[in-house]
Amino acid sequence: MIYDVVHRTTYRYEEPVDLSYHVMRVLPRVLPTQRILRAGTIVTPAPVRVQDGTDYFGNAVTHMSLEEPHAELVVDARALVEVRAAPVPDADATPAWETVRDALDGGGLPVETQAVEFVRASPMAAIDDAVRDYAAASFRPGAPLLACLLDLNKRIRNDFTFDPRATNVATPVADVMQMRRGVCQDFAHAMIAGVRAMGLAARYVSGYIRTYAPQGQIRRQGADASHAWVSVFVPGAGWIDLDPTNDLVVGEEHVVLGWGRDYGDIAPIRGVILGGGAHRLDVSVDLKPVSDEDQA
Amino acid sequence: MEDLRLNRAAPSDADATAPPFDEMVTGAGQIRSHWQALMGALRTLAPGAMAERMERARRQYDENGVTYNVFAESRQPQRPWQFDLIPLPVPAEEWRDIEAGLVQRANLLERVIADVYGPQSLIRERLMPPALVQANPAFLRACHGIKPANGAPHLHFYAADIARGRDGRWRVCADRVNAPSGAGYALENRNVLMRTLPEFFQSANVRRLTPFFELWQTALAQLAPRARENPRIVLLTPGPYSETYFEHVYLARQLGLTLAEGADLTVRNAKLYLKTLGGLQQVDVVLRRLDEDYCDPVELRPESAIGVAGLVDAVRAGNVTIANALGAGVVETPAMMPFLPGLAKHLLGEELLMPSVETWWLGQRAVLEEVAGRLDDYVIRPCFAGDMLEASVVGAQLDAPRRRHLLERLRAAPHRYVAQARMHKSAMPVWTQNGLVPRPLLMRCFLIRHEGGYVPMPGAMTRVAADDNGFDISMQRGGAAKDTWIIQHEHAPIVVRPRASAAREPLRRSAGELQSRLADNLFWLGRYTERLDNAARLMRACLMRAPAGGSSAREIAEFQVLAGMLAARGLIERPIGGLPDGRAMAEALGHACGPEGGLSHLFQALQRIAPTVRDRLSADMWNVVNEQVRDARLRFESQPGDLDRLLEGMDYTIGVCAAFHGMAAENMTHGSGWRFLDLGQRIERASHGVSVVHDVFAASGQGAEPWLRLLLEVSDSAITYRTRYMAAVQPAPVLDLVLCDETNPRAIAYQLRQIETHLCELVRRDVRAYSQPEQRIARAVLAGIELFDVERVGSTFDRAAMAALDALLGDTRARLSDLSEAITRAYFSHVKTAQSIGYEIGPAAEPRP
Repeated sequence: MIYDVVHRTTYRYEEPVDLSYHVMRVLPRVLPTQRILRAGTIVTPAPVRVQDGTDYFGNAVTHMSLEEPHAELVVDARALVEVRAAPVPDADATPAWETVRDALDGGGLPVETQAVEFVRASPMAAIDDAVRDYAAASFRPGAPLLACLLDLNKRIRNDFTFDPRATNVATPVADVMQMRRGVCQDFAHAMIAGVRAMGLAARYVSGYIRTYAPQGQIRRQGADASHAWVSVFVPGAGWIDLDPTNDLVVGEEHVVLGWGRDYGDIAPIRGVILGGGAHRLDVSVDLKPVSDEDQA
Repeated sequence: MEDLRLNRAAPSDADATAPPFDEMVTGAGQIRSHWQALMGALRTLAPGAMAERMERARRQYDENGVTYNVFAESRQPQRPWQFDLIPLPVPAEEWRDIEAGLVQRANLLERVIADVYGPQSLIRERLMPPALVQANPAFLRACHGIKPANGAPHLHFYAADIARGRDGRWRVCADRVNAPSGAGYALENRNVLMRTLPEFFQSANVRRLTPFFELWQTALAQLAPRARENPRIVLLTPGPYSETYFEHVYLARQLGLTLAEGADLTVRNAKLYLKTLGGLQQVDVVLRRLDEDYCDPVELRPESAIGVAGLVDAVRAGNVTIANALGAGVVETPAMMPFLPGLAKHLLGEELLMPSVETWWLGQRAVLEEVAGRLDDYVIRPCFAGDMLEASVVGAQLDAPRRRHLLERLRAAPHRYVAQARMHKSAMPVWTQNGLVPRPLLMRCFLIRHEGGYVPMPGAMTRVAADDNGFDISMQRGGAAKDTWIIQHEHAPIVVRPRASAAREPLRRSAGELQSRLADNLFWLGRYTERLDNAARLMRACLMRAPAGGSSAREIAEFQVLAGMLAARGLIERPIGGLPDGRAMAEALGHACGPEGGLSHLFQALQRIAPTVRDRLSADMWNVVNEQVRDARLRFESQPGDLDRLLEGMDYTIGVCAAFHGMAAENMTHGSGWRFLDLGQRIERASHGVSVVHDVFAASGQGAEPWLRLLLEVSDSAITYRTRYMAAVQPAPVLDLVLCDETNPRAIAYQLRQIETHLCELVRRDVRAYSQPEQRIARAVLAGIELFDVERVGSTFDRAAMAALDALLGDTRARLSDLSEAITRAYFSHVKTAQSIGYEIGPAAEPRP
């Protein structure tokens, strides 16, 4: 499936900003399951410096700075991306979760070093008893790893209520666990903390999901949103993406921007401004499926 | 994971029966040979001499402002420097071994840091556990992949705390890598000891410290990413609230660096600049004393207000070198220690020369279980930076429930803890009133990287414990610092390396690059000291008229005018109405001078701003603005309501302000820093003068003689008037003296003339005269006063004359306020507040229906 993704971020400042510095992670990452046909950002006003690179986790990152006074900053990130579904192993054939846990802890099976990084609690995915106890219910002794993870994925979809007013970007996992409410980011963090509490590896994935207009309506442009889900490490199969917000195994309807330990590692646009006073932020995302003819 | 199995970091020091090693005396009771000269010198001192020398040394530390924790909020007592005058001598052969061990360790740590921020092959090959990096908050992911420009090392300056165990071996107790402190204190300890006990040095051949600092200077210059004759190097400090700020100021002076706070620096197009009055000046090298995660709010801690936005990007672009490199602190964790012997073999092909104190990392299950079984032998410490506030736990001191609780905590996050053997540190003598007593010691050694290798300072900062419990030694816990002597053989030549750039320094008359922030703060220091002076003078005048039974009507009227002035300045809450009695008066003024009063606010403002310009003030000026201002404040706050005490306090305060301004005039070079201090003072005095004249004339109407006397008194011009005019007090001469006379340093015209001169001197020579807005305002306001016809006012003093005077004063007042703003716009960085953005909203996709 090919998607035309437009992600527009607009900052409107009450007073002019004299200087600003930004770190952006708004271009999709190249993956075995994801081909980037075209991608680029347009920033208005024009930055004095734009430097593209790769961050510690291998995500595409852009550093930029603006040095002329501006009252509005618009970042348009646009990409044409081809996505294929990754093969999903037979859940019952995956190793027992305890075996994987022990391997990650340094005994037994050799594992990728980079998976170890995603076993420990991270700043926005703190582990406490509540999240540990909640997750533990999905990990029966000796059960196959992926079966446990799919169960947890489903329970979060069922037990948690979508409520954008309940949380903000910095709400800790502990609060989310108590309220059982939040948005995709909260559900992802809760699942990550739970998986890690079991001694397993989970990372946070930032990206987009295809949406469907309700029956009889036309897709509204720009009405999509950034999305977040979880990637779990399954020895033999590698990383498998699970979407606890929708109880899905990620197929060809998600576009990956990048990943990190939690949201803090992969926030789309972050920065420091000098001046500016109060500001308003608008984000619009449009994920449009493109047929091959359209593309040509 | 076999190759990660338990690694004994050190031969154990656990022979519990052996006594601690004695640095001075052998087991046979003999004084060791390298102590004999020193002890001989000590014996020749007259009885009581040591006490006197201690006192002399204390005075020197005080005078030089050596403190460990300087708090600008001065009610917090500054901790005086704790020291002991008996140095620790180290014989040459022993020092050679210490040097070799520390040089090797610095090389090793440098290689480890380079790997952690590069290929990470040590983790992949399991030579160290991944958690030491990945779970370590000192690992800065934003800095991964950055190589210091121009082949510079990550680890430029390294310090190690070492101690000697009962077996006589030195061990490393802590590696200091992030932003090590202490080298400046070590130098100051040496300087003070040389001045207070010169006889100690006569028979000993002690290696000098200064060549090390000269070498450091060259080494820093070599870090510059671009070839430059005179690279610009700044010492980045968190500012006066830092507990080692004294050392930052001291080192900056010693190494010839510009002391800069985050607000003095700015990044433009990935280059680092210093904001100065002369514009932006590119910075090549930063000697960093700011903790690394605070250095850049864009890529490191977003909440940091003391860093420089964009700094990481500037480093990544290779335009500036930071020493130590951002992220180097990752190897500071004691959890590294057990793995160093293996790393030394792997990376250097060598055995680790100097062991670490016996340390176990609990992140491996087998290790944790073994330690759990022998908890009595260990201290359990958190090993990662963010957790360091969590207290260490001494296993042997735990009862059973606490022990269980600790083990639970360890099992929940074992990778965050180490177990360290308690080390029985060696002891050396400390001088006390009751003679010499032995105290355990810890020695901090320093190394710099120079031309590809590490060079140790031939000396150290040795600290001794406050008591003879040999486990915890730190300045925070009341320890004392000592000089450390590296004894050299008679014939060893003193190698003084010449500075790399032998080019002669051209003579300079000004620094020319005063930071805008400092100019701003000096300006306000000038304003606040003058404001304090003015307030004290008004209050004194008021106090002297304190209504009593016999007060005349005139005295009471004058008192009312003065009280009105105080109220207008916010120094008392409201004018004192009617015929006040002494008690009401004492209450109002007592409150004004009390902890919440207007005068107290002035003191606070002064005490906040003074430390920010401390390195621009001489020791004497600092003493006045620090100690004496505090004294003055305490005088008021200790005796509220006692009128005589208040009067004395006012006299004292006025004296303090006079001392400060006198020293500014006489002791500061009359460069741009002084000009801004003086500008602040002049603008403040002119504004004050204008309102005093206005208030007095408004009260007196016709300019009656008693009122004119009051004006002369408050303007501190009474004596001048008397010598010029004898007794006759008339409006015209009084106005001339306080308003227009450019030779009277209290007159408004005098202030304006000075202001104009400063503003002309500050502007570059090639600019047309009066081309700048602030210069034009200054000229205009002075011209207004100069052109005012005092004679006409004086001879008639009718309503028209009064109106003319009113207009002049109103106009002058408005223009002075414009002037202050124009100066602010022209010169002060006027740092807009930085704010972090991008944390407002996260992804919020709805679940599909």
